[in-house]
Amino acid sequence: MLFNSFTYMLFLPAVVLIYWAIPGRYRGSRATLLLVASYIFYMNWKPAYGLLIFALTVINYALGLALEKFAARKKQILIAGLIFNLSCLCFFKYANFILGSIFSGVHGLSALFMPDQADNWTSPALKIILPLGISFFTFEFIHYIVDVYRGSAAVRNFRDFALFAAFFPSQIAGPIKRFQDFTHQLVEKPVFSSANFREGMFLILQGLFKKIVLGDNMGYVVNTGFNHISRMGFVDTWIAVAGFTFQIFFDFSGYTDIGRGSALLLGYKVPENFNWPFLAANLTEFWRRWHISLSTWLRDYLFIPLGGSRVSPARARFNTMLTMVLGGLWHGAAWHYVIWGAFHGAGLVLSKEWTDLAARTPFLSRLRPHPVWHWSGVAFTMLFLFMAGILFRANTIPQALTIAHKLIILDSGGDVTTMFLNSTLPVSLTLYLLYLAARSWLDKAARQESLLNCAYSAARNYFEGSLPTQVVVYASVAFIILGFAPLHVSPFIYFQF
Amino acid sequence: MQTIARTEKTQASPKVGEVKVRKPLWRTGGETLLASLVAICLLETFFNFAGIGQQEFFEPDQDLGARHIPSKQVTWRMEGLSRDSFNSFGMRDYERSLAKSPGTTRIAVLGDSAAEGLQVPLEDTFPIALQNMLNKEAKEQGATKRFEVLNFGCAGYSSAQEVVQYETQVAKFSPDIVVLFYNQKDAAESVIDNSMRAISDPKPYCYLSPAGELKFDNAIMEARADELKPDPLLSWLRRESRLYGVINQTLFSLSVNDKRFVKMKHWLTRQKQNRKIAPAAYPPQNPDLVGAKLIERLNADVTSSGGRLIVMMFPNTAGYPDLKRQQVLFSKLAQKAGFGYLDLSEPFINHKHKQELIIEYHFSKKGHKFLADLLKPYIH
Repeated sequence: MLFNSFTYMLFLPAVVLIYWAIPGRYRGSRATLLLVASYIFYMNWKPAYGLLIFALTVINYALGLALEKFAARKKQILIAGLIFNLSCLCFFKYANFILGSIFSGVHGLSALFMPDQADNWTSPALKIILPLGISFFTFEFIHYIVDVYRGSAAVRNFRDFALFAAFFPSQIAGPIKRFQDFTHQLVEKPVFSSANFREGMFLILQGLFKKIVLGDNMGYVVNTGFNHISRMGFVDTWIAVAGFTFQIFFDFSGYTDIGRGSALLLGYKVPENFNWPFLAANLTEFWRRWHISLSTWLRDYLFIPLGGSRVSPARARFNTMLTMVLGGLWHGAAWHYVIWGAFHGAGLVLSKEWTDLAARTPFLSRLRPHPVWHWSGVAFTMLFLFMAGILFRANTIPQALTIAHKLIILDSGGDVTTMFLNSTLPVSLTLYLLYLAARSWLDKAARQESLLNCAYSAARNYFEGSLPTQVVVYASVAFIILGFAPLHVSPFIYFQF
Repeated sequence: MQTIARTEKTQASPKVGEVKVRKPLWRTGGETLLASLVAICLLETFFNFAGIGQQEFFEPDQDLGARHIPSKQVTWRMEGLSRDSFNSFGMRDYERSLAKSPGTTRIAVLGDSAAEGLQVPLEDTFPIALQNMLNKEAKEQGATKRFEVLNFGCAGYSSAQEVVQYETQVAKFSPDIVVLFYNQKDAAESVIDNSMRAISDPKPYCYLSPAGELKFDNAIMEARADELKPDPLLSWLRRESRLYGVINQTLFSLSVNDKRFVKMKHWLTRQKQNRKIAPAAYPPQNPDLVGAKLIERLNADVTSSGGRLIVMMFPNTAGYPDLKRQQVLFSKLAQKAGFGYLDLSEPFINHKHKQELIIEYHFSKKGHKFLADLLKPYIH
């Protein structure tokens, strides 16, 4: 079920209504309802894969209990659990990639020695449909068994554990939850809070705006460019490349907002995944602000176990590269994702070296506090992300190279530029920037004693006290989203991962 | 943020002993009404500025089933972009007078969305481009005569609708030349299968009698006459409200994208779908033959008013078999009946940059310009 679908717009209010209609003393019934709703949500796509997530849940639940019970053998249990979870992920996500890569290698060698026979070979492919969200819930299971191994208490209640794994607002594309944060919310008696409800509605509408109005419309422009690379001119290529970086942000952060908002309507909090990533002044900072739940997972369960940065500089660089290459591979079973990861890894290593150099060099350290230094860093990071975006979006490496080449050749073109200018994007992007500016301005104003602050507080108090006004405001924003929506609904980009 | 959080907490938990006063119903109602009115005004203004919700441009018509809303401002974004208004006759054209001024040669263009050309600005559509070219040429030659190319193109129109349109509306403009821009499905959309009668759009359909005469089947329009009756409120909303446009656009998008929505809509409108419409009293029709008869009838109409018909065939760049068949049939008919026939397929296929002539399904600016270039010598 897509968050931006008509079905979800019926499903969510129905779940929220039934959920809060169940009296608070039946806390267990509410959790059961959420579990059932989460399975309906998941099985709506492919019912058989409901069994897969259920089987994985049962096995990981048992592994957690076994880790606690058989302390003497917990290392073996952990290894077995890791192999099991990673094998599942590899089978569904990487089997064809591994087969294809082996085939390409063997085929390449054969072509050298038996050119006539090699021509008749066809690449083997298994008929596997990637279960939605497998990369996300597998990482949650791994986090669970590792944390129990490290000493956290296992979850005793199977329903609570199953809900942690299947919770529909974060089931398909994260954020990757931590069980300690989630299950303690199940223990507490959820109380309906109008502040949570307002925040939830606000996040859902903001997410839909990002996804539908900005991300999907941007997607049309970007796809036109990437599907007709030869027709793109200089400006077209820059629009398509920059557009993709923003498209993926709007798409993914929109998804996260809708997920977090949906969870809040049910009284749950799921972690934040983005924190103004395009304002990062270097790549290390970017990864602290972008897909936070994945980057912290990679840090805690891969980078630090490898030794982190408290090792020799060479080893620390290797750890960073390996973490990012595997992070790239996590995104998709294709070589361009691996190269994208390696590109980011190299960027992180260089970024770290540059920061160290700037700290050591007196001339550079004098420049560092200057705003120009900061904003140059922001611009350079952005440029790096555009380049990395080409590797992420292009279907093949040669295609990525052609696009990169077009960024520096002053060709004429115009299709993508015309399409961008003809679309609703100039208006909707302006609207979004105005919204961000107003929000940051009002946040600042709220901290000061001023007339504006008084007016803002009065308006806010009125809004919070008037349900009719709230309903009208939500409906108005919904109308704006519908008005700017493209004709065709697009799935979320991160669903494929 | 901390200040806000503190304020929220204070408000969320009323003090002990504090009595929460429930607002009287009239106040809640008044607030809702006021907030709604303010929101509607703001949204309408914003949508008008941003060109949103202006893709709604049809209204029911008792002769044609549907027609353009006269003087309606349209911002079209589904493919390409245009932002201008229909004229007071509901034509995708500049304002025109019914009476023809002396020394003016009038050319009327009939067709579907390809002629309507909402994908490009009005001044770039081929009828306007053709008019400008012909007038420029006449001026250069020092001639006093003027040309007016009137665009009656309307998205989704079939040949049957175009014939009715000519007879009820276009003939009043006394055109000297009528260009029928024939598209692939124009004939097929003029006939109706028995199984589709309950769910097809109410519009004129045609069939051939056993004697081979062209007959109109208006049973569906009669059965659904209530839908074609003018409704002042709906009519006003269609013309004036962008919000109404957004709602309709959303419903259309949902019916394209969401199977569950389609099922729900079918369930909600099941009574309408089950309405009794008399089955056709004629056998299944051959659309090509009906199309040919419709062109013959249009030709007879045009020549009887002293005009001349040109049938311009949509470029068959994809090699559609239906259109290929019709090309052969209509070119023979043109020779027999003596109307003009122009097939655009070859020039479009042989064009050096043919990809640039079409946006996705419709002509680009370059495509319209090329069309006008091809049509101009033919008009002479």
